[in-house]
Amino acid sequence: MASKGNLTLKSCNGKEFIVEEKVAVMSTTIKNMVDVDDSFAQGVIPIIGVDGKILAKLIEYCKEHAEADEDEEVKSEEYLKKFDEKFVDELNLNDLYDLLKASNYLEITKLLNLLCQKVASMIKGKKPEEIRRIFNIKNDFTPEEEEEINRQNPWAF
Amino acid sequence: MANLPPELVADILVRLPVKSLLRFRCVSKPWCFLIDSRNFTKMHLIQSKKTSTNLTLVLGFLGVYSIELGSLDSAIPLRPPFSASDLSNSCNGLILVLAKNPFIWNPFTRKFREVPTSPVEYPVDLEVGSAYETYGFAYDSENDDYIVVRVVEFRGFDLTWIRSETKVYTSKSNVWRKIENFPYQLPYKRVWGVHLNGALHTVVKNVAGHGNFFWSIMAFDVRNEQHYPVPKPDFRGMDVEFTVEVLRDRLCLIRPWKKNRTDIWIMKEYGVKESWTKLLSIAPPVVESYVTLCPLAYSKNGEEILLNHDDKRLIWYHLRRKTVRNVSVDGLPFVFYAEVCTESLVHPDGLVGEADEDELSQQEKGMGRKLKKEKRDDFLSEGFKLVL
Repeated sequence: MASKGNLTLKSCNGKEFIVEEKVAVMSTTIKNMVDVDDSFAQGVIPIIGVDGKILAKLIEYCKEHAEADEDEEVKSEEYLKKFDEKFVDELNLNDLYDLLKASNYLEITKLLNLLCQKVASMIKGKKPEEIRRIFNIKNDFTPEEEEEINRQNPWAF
Repeated sequence: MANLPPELVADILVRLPVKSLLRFRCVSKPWCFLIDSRNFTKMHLIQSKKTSTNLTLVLGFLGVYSIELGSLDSAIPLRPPFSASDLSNSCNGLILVLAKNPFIWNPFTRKFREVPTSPVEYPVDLEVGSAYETYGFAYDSENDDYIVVRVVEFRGFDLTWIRSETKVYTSKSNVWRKIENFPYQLPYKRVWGVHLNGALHTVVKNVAGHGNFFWSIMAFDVRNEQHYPVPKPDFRGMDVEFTVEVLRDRLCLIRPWKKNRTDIWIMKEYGVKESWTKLLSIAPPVVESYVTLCPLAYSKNGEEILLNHDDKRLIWYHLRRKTVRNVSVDGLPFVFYAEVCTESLVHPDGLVGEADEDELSQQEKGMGRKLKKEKRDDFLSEGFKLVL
């Protein structure tokens, strides 16, 4: 059991992490759980659908930001910006995808914004067929329909 | 990235420039419905405004060009489907274009709408020597409507101003309506007005007696059709003519002074005289003599201001170092005027516009997440219903 001020988070593959409460509550979902039911604060909080590797990443991010929120002197805006850049640059496509889903579920708004921005800048200049491949989307247009849509904005290609 | 939840797809796409979004319409039917939906247009605009992204310079005069403000690398000809002679300020990515008739145009989606013509009612009680038409373009956030103001200035044979017949056109109604005459003379331009807070601002020349003049700022609020004065700074020295512009949602004032020097002031708090602050003062040898300068945008780090230098080139002015550097833009026309626009998907029919100010400020405070989500579910179900 975690000591006072700490929470225990458990990933879907059974890994447990003891983190400071201020770090964990960067997730609105966890904050709501703790606020509503005190037993969560004492026991173990299961993080459904998030494995140990991703949870560790989430905690790494929240830790930096929670400390910065507490003391602006220690971690300047500049430092956080650099940390964020490095954090997203090191992710491969699979991790990016898992983190996106996890931060959405856990409502870590700052991280979610960062990740969405990263994906947006990644896909900005891509062709439609590359987008379908990245997102695994089936083209449900008939060739005629697709041609008609392309004809509407030829300068965008 | 298989099976990303639809709300996350929307959260990603909302951060893209218009050109990418138009290209991605053909990815799949759900993506096309999402990008074409009213709510997405709204969310995209809010996101762009909130983060000051998707800003583009639209140039007019010798042809129409666009330059991405983020990169400032090349001027791309836009080739509007009408012979555009004058362009207005931009409201949510829409521009009023004066060709033979006025058009409301979105240069980013290239969609346009022709504004119907309206007859000019000449005064019967006075001898009119000439009539001059001038137009203004504004956004009414209360009614989410785009407004065209047409002022026809009647002059006598000796060119003295007699009166100004005024009509307004609203996008939603698609008709012109006569309103009270403009009580002051407008600058001799086909498109007039600096748009801020739902009002069109202009500099008015006033007679001070003994052949002297002084200049003041007047605003016309399109929401209640009222005119009101806007205070100007307390200048030292004599009263000289100045112009007004908008720089990042703030009114600014450009004052050529002692012939060679240009001062640019900014009103930090709208309508508050004391909040006028001198932003910069620029004089030779930093720039050449007798140039006109017009502020366009701040750099990302806020240390520099982009200026239109004599309608011929773009320069960055460093606020602290007080130095300038030239911006080299491929394909820049040799004479131009420039307007800063937020790229948007807003349709010229005005059917889709900006959200309420309340909604916008709520989002800025970070309280909008839930609201955003609810709305997103709304249109996603709307979009996907059509697919299923």
